[in-house]
Amino acid sequence: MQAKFWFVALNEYRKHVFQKRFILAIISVPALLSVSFLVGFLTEYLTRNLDPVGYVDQAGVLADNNPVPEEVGNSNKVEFLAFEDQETAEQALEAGEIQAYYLIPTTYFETREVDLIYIKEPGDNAESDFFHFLRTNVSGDLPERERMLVLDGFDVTVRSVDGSREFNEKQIFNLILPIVFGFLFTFVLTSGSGYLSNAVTEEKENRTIEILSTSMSANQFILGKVLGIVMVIFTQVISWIIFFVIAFFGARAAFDAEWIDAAQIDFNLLLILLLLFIPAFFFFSGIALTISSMVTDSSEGQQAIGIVSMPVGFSYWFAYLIISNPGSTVSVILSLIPFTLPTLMPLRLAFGVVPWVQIALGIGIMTLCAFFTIWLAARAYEMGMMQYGKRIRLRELLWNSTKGGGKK
Amino acid sequence: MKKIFFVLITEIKNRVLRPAFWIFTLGLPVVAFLIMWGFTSASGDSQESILNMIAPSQNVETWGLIDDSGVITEFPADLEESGVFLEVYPDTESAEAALEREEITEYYYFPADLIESGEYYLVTPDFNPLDGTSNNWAIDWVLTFNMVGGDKLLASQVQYPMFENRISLSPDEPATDGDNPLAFAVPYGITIFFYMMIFSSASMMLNSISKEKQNQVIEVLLLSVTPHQLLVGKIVALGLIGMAQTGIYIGIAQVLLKLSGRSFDVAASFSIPSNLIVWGVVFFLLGYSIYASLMAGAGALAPNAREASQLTFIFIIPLIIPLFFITVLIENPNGLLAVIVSMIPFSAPVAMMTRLAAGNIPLWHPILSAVIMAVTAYLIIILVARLFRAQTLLSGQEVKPATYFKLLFSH
Repeated sequence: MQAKFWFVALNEYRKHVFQKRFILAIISVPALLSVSFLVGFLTEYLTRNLDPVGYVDQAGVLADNNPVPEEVGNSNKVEFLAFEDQETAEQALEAGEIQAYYLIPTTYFETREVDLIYIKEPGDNAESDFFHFLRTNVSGDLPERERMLVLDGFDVTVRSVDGSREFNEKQIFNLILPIVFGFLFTFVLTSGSGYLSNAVTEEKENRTIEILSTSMSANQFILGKVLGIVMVIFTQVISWIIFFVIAFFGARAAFDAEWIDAAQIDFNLLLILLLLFIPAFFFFSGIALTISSMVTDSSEGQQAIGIVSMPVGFSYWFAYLIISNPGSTVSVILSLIPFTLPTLMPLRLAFGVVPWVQIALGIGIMTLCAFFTIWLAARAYEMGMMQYGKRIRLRELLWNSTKGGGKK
Repeated sequence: MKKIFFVLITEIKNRVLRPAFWIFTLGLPVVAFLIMWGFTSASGDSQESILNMIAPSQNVETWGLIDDSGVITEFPADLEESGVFLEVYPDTESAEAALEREEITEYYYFPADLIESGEYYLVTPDFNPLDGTSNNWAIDWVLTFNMVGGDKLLASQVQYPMFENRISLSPDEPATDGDNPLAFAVPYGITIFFYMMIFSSASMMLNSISKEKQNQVIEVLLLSVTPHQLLVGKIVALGLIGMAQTGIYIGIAQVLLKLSGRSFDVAASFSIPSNLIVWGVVFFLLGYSIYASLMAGAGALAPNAREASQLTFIFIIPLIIPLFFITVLIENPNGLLAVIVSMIPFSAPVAMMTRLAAGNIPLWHPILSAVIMAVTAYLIIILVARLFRAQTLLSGQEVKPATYFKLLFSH
């Protein structure tokens, strides 16, 4: 028994993993992230202008010309040049020596209004740098520590009343992790819909199934197939996790950011996510195998799997609702429905306190559903063998399975 | 010409006479409106109970404060005017008791080493990491006010030191209103809308061709009309349908909003260039012609609709690129990147509309871009028409992007 389903599992695994398509699917996530990172970097680079900015200070607020402390704002700061009057500032602007200039009128202290004068739109960075420059000089009389706090801001730690959850800058990964898991899950389902729908139809089409059915039972075959598919999915997910870990340590080495150094991961959260996602993968593999056993050709199967996995994609429509109100009745219901659970329960875990009962219920529902779909897949396979070339209807499958199909 | 007209009329008839077309065209806005209307006209109680299921309401708006640091000596007078009520508690026990009695919704804790550590706590029953950012301005205001010794004027200067009036000295580039969210939202909305319009109309072409190829009608058709006539007829027909569908959506939305006593007048708060609609029609037609022709080629080559749709991903990439750089395009519509992507015919339909909506651009830019696109559309239609040869249509082999482009230029 053991050897046979392992044989099926390993064969299924080998069939998919050593394919060009699979390698492309693995590379696609790092490639997509690299492109997003590059686009972000380019956007930042293109909206930045490091040319000096002038100012005409009629209110005398910048008389001390205190520079912005290193810790505040970005590291590539714009240089500020003082001008006696508007005329000289305008000449410098027209000569292209400065990208824009600020006029601080005598009424500044009453109104806080300043004029930004330019010919071409100045960079976003120039405006934010001047904001910090003005703020630094306005708060010049404060004691050093208070001034730094005013300029750099306080750190806030959000804590639940029972103390079970805490969030501050250091725990950013506890917020990101569940979201990343949800996205990876969705990505696995969409990128893998091809091999999921082909799981049984391929053997049906090339008639290998006739030989297989003489050597092993439906349960052995389906169990082997499910294990093979889940192993394929795990290979994909583990490859991505390895990429994330490398990217994390790479970022830590490249950027000397304090928050990356101090980052912490809640291992309880990680465990809960694993306990939710492992049965979720089995659940969807079970569904894929059921569909694949019911239909007669792979394109039909792919359509059906597309429809079944649609709720996973649509679940993100409710993301705002979950994030803003993770404890509402609608959020709780949505996070316990097996089709939306893998994406919405992690969001609730990230943005709220989920009672242990609901977490246990979620894991229980997912595990039971996984067993059910695998069992159903075995029944569909048996029926498919007896009704060769005919599409099985869901009602027919459920009716026959509950009547006596579960005996084998 | 007569045959092109024949194809055009047949295609329009085929689409428009289908009940599914009307269900989708008229049904979608009506269903969206009914959901909105049903919800807004529900009685007060039922509306509240629905809202409560989605987002539980909070009756108490007061926050607690425990200050072990001794920094807080008084609250700014305008705090309560801005709807923020703070209640001071001596210790966590009393604050938690107040939380239980629902007198406060959450409480802040300032530890004794607040100034040294620069860290304070927000304790909340409905833990949400984002709570730490949503109320920050009020607590920061209280802290700044107390750190500057209760001087309200100085505190407000330190907290927010400037309100900016933007003055542009360039006659071609009027000052943008940086504070108006519509300055970003309108070009953004127009970009997304345009992308969807072109993509959905071009996808209709893909479905039409691949369906006719699968049921082999196309082979019969090609006996009576030339590939060029077939392609032009279909492109014009589906383009007209796409535009009519968009017009119907906008019209129904306007009528329904008027009937319900609402209005959506963006122009009142944000100036949209008056010639934008004219340019919109021009760039839609040109962009659609390019993409619909490419899609038609994919439909002609691929053995079935599923494989054809896989090919479309490659075509759509240039159309998506402007969406990636949408911030740059809106903030700097005359920058180098914006000019380049709006002159490349494949990204131009979306990029040029973003630039036109975002700000004043020289008139010759959209004119040149439209000319480049018109030439490209013409060339692509000629090249794609060549793909409609019997052996290409009948081949049934797997089609890869490389095969597609090789066939396109090999004749």
